[in-house]
Amino acid sequence: MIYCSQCGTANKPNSKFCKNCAAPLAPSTDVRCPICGTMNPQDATTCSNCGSRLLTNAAGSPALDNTTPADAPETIAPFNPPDVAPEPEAPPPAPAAPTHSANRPTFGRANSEWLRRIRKTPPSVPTAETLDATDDQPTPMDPAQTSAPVTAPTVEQPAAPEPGIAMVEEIAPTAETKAPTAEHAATPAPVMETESAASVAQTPLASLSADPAPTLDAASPSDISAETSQVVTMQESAPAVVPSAQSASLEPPVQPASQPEMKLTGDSYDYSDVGGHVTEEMRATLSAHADKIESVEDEVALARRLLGLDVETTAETPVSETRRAETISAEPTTPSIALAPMVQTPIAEITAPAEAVAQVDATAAMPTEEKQEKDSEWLAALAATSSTAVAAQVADQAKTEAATDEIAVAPTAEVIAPPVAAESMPTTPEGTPPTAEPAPTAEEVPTPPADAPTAEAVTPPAAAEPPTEAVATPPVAPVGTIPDWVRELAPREVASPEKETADEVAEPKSEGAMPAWVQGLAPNPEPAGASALLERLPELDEQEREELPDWLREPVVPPTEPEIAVPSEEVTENEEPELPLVEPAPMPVGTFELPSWFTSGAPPPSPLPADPFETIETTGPLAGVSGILPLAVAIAEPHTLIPVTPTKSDGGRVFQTILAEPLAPAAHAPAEVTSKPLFTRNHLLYLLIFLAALVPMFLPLNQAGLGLNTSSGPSADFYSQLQAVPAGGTVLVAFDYTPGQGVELDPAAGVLVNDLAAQHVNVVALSTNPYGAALAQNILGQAQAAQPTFTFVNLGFLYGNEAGLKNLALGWLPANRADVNGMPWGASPLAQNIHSFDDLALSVIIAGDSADLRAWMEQVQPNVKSPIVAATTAVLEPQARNYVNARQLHASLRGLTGAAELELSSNRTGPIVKTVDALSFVSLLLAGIIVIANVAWLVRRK
Amino acid sequence: MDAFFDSACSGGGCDALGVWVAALLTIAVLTYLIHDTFIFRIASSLLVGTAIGFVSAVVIRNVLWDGLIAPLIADANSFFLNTGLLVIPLILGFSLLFKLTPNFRATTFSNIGLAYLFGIGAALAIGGALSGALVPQLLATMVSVKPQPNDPGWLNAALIVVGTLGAFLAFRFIQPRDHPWQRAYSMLTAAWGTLGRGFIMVAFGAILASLIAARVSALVGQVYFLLHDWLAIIK
Repeated sequence: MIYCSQCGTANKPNSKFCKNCAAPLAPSTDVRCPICGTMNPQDATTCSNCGSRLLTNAAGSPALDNTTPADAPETIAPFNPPDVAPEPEAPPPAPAAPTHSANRPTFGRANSEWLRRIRKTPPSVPTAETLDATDDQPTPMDPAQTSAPVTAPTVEQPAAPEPGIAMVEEIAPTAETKAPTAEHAATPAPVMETESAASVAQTPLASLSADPAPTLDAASPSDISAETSQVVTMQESAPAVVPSAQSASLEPPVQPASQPEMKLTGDSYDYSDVGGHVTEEMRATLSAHADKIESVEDEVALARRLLGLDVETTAETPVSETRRAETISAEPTTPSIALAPMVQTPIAEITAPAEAVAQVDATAAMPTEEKQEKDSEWLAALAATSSTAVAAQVADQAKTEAATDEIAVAPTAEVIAPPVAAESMPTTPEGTPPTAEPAPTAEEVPTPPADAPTAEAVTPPAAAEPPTEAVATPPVAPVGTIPDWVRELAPREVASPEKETADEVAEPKSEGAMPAWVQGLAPNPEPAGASALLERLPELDEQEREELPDWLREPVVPPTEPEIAVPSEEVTENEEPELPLVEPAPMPVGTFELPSWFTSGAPPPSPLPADPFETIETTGPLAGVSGILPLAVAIAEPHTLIPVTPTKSDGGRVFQTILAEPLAPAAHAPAEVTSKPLFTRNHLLYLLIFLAALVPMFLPLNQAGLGLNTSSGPSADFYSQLQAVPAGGTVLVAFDYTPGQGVELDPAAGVLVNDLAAQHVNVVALSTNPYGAALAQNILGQAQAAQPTFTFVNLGFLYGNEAGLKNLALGWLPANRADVNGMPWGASPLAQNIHSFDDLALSVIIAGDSADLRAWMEQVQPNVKSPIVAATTAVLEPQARNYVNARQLHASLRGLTGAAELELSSNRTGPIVKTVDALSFVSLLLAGIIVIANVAWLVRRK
Repeated sequence: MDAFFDSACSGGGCDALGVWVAALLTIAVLTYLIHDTFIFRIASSLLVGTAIGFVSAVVIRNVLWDGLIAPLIADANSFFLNTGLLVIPLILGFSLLFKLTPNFRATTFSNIGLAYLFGIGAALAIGGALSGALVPQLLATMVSVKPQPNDPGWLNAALIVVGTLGAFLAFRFIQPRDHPWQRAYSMLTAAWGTLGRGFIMVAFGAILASLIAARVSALVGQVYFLLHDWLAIIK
């Protein structure tokens, strides 16, 4: 939860605005896990929930910038000049040159640190007319630049290993003066990046110069020349802000103390808390002004001025204005004492060979190809201002040197006063170089843009050079409309005899119009803070609207008049008054040239591979911010699938090939040319069997004795069981065979029914298969036809298989059980004597299937006491013999042979015996065939 | 076939028609001895269709109507007081029809009827096997092999014992050892097994002969039918 600093309302962790008062919320210091989204402490390296590695500052962009909303206030870290001033020849390895890998830059923040410094912190003196952007202007011309501890890093700035800067150095290897100037000129370049507060704190002035590093670093070498031209061009076109550097040292600005607690001068205060390194000289100066200090604020202001933290322009303004009309000869002497540190600035750095200067200027003289877009104009102007400030500083130093040497030179010559070689200009503690070479002529320095607006001498270099757009001075607003301190930043109007020349190169200025370069310094006219939120309400998405209080969710009509920009610093301790919005004025055309990639918005061409995480959000509240969702970008980044190697897909490829091949025509089997013979051996065998079955039918032989035994054996036992049934008794005959088996069993069924009928035995017929009822009805009908007194009841199909048999064995038939004629069993005369299975005299099972016989033996026989006999087919005879041997069956009749034996036993000669004769013949035939075949096989085998 | 006609209608033209149809279909089937002809397929298809139709008619008539629907209708006036239990087989039998539907729940419901059928069938089969097959058959094999002076039945019992043990030893596959007694045992069991294999062959031959005799009996019976009933050549 984030608690609002104004109303104390608890807001969601990711809220940007207070839901109660809509005040911008300070960003949460917690680090969100990119995997699970868990908020972890800022010092945590791994997620407490999933253990994923957290994206910390070291891994990517600064967490502050990643989490800080666009309008969230930022705490401005004070400048801390380095303790040790590095030597110009051996600059440190670019501490302020961030790289993509080391410190992921954040782009496009309108309230970036360096921009915020420029926009905010105006001196308290400026009135309402003072531009907001000009408040930050002291930065490039910060007194720290002129002070000793600060100028040292200024000198070392060129050594920053930034491609652009390095290229400048290559162009002007000895032109140390140009190098820092160019670097300052490139200061506005990092508009698209955000510097971290840490880098700012570590590099006081170099931070400003280091800021452009990303941009310059990102530039390809091919664009270096263009950048260089831009740099130099901006130098040329930059307004002269040098006076501020000098005047700031002369007249410390009245800046309210930003530190809550300060100590009086008399203490052993080291001013470390204000971010500066206090030298003995500064202490002396401070002591000298001790009598003028009336309050802590005065002391702080003085200390800050001495430390170069604040710029006092108010008191200097009239001086600067006056100096515009003066020559340089009267000026430099004054600050020499107060700006003792500045004297320590290596003069060699500001004295560049004329060749180098000419080379740089030649590059700068490249004509501008196209106009810059308006949205980048103020950045370019800012760059120009910065470069001009540095140039002015250098020029001041040169003037100081010239004044020290009491060299009376003409203003023009003084302006063009060439720097002396570094080796020949030892630096003295007093800051006065022992000597200076005679100033080169104006021809040697064709374009001294850094010198032209500087040092109050402001001899327009255009006198020696045809006017170009590059040297055109931006129009300056009337005195009455521009604050003095801004005027100091403005390029000086040449109040010298060469002013006419300067006017030629200067663009016409309009009364009352703000100079373009000032407008360039103006902050983004887009309001910030709550006003910005009000204006952005229609653009907010649903989630953002939910974070807003109700009164802000209502549709808001955009204000007709642009609201005064309220910087986000309004919530900081250095709250500043709202500054009037300045309408951006068109920048002078052609005053500087930006690379094409800068104007086109395309990413700068860089030899380095683009960081995939450097994605700038273009929509939503994160518009313009990059690196916010690196992991999301990484995840959403299209991944290249590893192509399947041929080796891995060999099998599949072969299979695909096989499948793709056209099917081979089916191999047609060659038609059998040889016609199958009509009469084969099989047909001969069939004929023999048929004849063997047919011939006995016509033979007069009555071979009843062919293998038949009527005296003993199973058939005799079967016949005995039939004969044992008393007359008038009831016999159950089960016709459990199919019509296909009827050829073998019908004779046996007919014989036994006829025998029973002859014995005046009643028959109750039933069947466990649907065919049996019809077969039984036919046989019983024939028997009744032969014996009219024969009584039988055909109960038909007994359904239920084993269950039906079990039920029959246990409960017999229900009285309402209908026979095949529909008559109930109870109505039958047989039902009077038969009430259970045991009332039956005999049960005859004519079974053609093994299952039927087994069902009777398993479900009925164990439950009944009446004898059971079975007439089966020849195939079932072995199974029936087992039941006979087990005394489960009292007798069994074997198929057609048994029927013949039964027929013989009953002393009747019927067709069955004839069929048995035929069967005997066929059996003999088959036996003969088997014997002959085996003999033939044995003979053939031998 | 003539039996079916006899059951359907008897006497006069029905008998003659039945004999003719049966004779022609018999000849049609016998044509298979020459070749697999179209006539044979017609005869076989007609036989199958007629058999199924006849069975269906019998089941509907004797089972569904006489056993279920007619009693329910007759007892409807008394509000099924006497035939109320018939609702259970009606539901179970009706549930079997849901096997025709692809619906899972319907088939699950139909499984109730199947479960009843299989449960009752299994219970009856197991009980009947124990009481009607296993125990009686075991008791039947426990015969004395003691020779009786006037009863050669002991020989039959001895053959049963020798044949049964020989049949078991016929499936003995053991590598003989080197010991003499082991070799003697192996030789004995091998010889007994060989004898048992002879018993098995005789049993298979008897079964095959029975099958052939059954089919030959059918052939002879149909020949007799053709010659006696249809052609009336023989008496």
